[in-house]
Amino acid sequence: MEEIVIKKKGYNLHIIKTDKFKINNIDVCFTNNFNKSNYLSKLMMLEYIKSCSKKYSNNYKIKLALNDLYCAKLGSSIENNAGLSFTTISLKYFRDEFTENGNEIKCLEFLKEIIYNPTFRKTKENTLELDIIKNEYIDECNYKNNNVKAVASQEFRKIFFSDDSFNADSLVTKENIEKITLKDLENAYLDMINNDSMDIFIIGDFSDLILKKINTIFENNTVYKKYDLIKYNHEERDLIERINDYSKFKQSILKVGYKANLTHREYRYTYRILNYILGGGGLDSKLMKNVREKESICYSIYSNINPFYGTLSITAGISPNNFNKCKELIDKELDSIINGNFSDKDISDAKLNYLTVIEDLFDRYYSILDYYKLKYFLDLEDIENRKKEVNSITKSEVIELAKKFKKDTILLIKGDDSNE
Amino acid sequence: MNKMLIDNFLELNSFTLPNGFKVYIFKTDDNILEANLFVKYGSLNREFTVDGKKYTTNRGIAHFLEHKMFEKKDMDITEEFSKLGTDSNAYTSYDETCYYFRCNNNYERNIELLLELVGEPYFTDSNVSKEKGIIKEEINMIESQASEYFVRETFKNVFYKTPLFESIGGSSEDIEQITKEELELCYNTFYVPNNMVLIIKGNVDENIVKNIVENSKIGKKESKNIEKNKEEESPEVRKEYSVIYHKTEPDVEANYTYKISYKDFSDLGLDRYTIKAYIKAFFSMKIGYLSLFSYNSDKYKWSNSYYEYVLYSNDDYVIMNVGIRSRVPDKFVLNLEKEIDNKKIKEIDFNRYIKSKYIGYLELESNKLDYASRIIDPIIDYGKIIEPKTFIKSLSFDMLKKVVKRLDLSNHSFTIILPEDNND
Repeated sequence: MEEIVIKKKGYNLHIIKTDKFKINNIDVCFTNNFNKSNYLSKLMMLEYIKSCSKKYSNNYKIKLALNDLYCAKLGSSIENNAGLSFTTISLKYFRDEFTENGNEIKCLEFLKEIIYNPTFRKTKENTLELDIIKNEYIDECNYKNNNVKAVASQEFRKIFFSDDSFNADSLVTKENIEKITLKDLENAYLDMINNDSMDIFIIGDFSDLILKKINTIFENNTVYKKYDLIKYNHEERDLIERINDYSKFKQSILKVGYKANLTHREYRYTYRILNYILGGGGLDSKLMKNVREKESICYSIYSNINPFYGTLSITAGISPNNFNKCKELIDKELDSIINGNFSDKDISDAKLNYLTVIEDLFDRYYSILDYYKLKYFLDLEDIENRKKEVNSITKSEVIELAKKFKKDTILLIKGDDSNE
Repeated sequence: MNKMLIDNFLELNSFTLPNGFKVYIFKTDDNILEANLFVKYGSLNREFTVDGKKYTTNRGIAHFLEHKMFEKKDMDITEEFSKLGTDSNAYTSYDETCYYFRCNNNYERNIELLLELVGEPYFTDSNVSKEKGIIKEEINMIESQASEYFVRETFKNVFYKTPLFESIGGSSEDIEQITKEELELCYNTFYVPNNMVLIIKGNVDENIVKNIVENSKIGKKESKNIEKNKEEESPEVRKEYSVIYHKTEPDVEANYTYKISYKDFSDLGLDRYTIKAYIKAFFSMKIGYLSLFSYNSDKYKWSNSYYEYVLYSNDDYVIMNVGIRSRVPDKFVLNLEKEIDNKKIKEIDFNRYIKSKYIGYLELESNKLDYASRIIDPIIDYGKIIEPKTFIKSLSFDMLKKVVKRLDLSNHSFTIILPEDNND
């Protein structure tokens, strides 16, 4: 499966041609530097433009229109990584051969309506659509505030990162949501349309007619810029340790965070191997085997990495009285990697796991799309080079990387321990 | 070896060993192979009879057993899977325990390991005692979630005799009572070949699989009669309305739950799976994603969100639930009752529903693994092989009208959960 990139004046068209699937999918991606001030309005604007337009005055009409297009699916997302914000609006639909002649053209017309024909006028219907979205967001906030893992992640990020681009979720509060107006949504929309760079990724089997139609829709976009990934520099600071009381939760969550100042390219794949051995490898990781199985002090324990930010974090669900013991055991496991107490088999298992994951990428259209998008936006290697890089990782590189991490934050979300 | 072509494109091979062990192999062309081994033993099967003797076991024992099956005397089975780059795990539900893996190489060895996993237990007093700490932490994790508590309380209102209101994992006190001997009893009773089903989805030779299964411990075990004791359930709900409280639920959340008996449709000559499909179609047409009710609920703020789904079904009942997030749940339910009780249905809505289901399956066809996944539940729950696309097209508006006519919607329960500080 090859990607063809056609450079247009104002956008790049990335074509991934395959007839493996019955559907075609178009992802229209807007890229810009992360901007804290309009993050929430951009997020809500995306929901809003999927809910109504000049032609479709409310969400019910949009749902029926999508059903008429043989259940085409409209999607959107915002992701922040390496200092950039990636906004996507997508449409997935069935090709004419599986539906009826002209369905594809109708689907593209529909996508054009959604992207280029929104309405932000202060009418009763538009205000209602915004209210519905606000309600959904507020509901989601309430849900998160009542989920111990979500609370732990939020509180941890607040302490661990001083930069807001890591903390975008903390901007999504009930108070901020309630303040958003149709004007804010319009500004966020105009900012995206006028200032963001556009890349269109299409996957499926596209005829010349359809490619021409895509060009007609997007040809008025005239500005294109490839944004550079931003390297994050962690400030040197002393270890921060906090215990936050949350008696409404029965469980307690311990989070330990480590930082390393590295460039994006350094140890990019070694991270994965280190993470797998330490705590990303499910039931077979060091944390799982030695902290959970041998010591029986937690049910869930795992590690996460982000090579773009140079971070490693460990999360464990524990009882508060095991706080100190669990901290010590986590230290011991990372130290044991630094001291080389892991086998070649551990490395080969980790490599095999990674290779299994990437083999899986080409079975589903959305993971193929993600692969090409990440390769382009985050400058990742292609599959063959990834395999080569992973296979060449040595034990000493894993040790070297582990040594670079400095413990930065310890947080305990302390639940109700009255039953202990 | 039985062979069939599901919906004219997906090959299914199946066989049953003389000891009753059933195997289904969906032939796919993906890189990935997935296998699920189901033991028809879950948290509800606490009471059973062996050789005329009745046993009542501790709550949480099926789940405890699932944990303990990963421990072996001579090998670290997790490590063995890991060596092959394979993800493996398990879960326990009300009616079954499932062990599974996903891999992209060494298919045969992975299947051997899965059979090994359930083939023989290794219990010692110390390893049973050690597991208790881990399970208690898992219970704490689950108990932290208001949603778990809420579902159990909903079941408490709906059922008289079926103990769905008991936590699958049991409580910390229950776990403390569990012994090595009790685990052995449950293993010997339920982990028998005629109570297990293996389902494989992948590009694997069915004859090689048959050979592996025949030579495994499970393949060589003898079948055994299992008497799962079950009390007769009343068609009525136990409580029509209740308000409960939990620490971690700030907004009102509510469940409106219908208890529907299969008996009401016995004259239609339909199997339970088909009846359930018609019931789901009815609810979806009346209040689903594409209904006017859904739009009005947003418009008039009856709810922030809601969704209708089958909460549970067994041989006798379908429990249809509407989960509601709303600040005015009474208002929502007033309108819901009005909509549902008016059984009038339109053919255009039925066609829309069928179209959306059919299109969903059409998309899944591109990935045989995903398509096969849709066929597993009816095999396990009803022993029935469904061809999804053919099945959905076989549903008719005329039959739906007959089902709806017989649909008794009078047995319902309304459960509301409020934050604890509202409980003055």
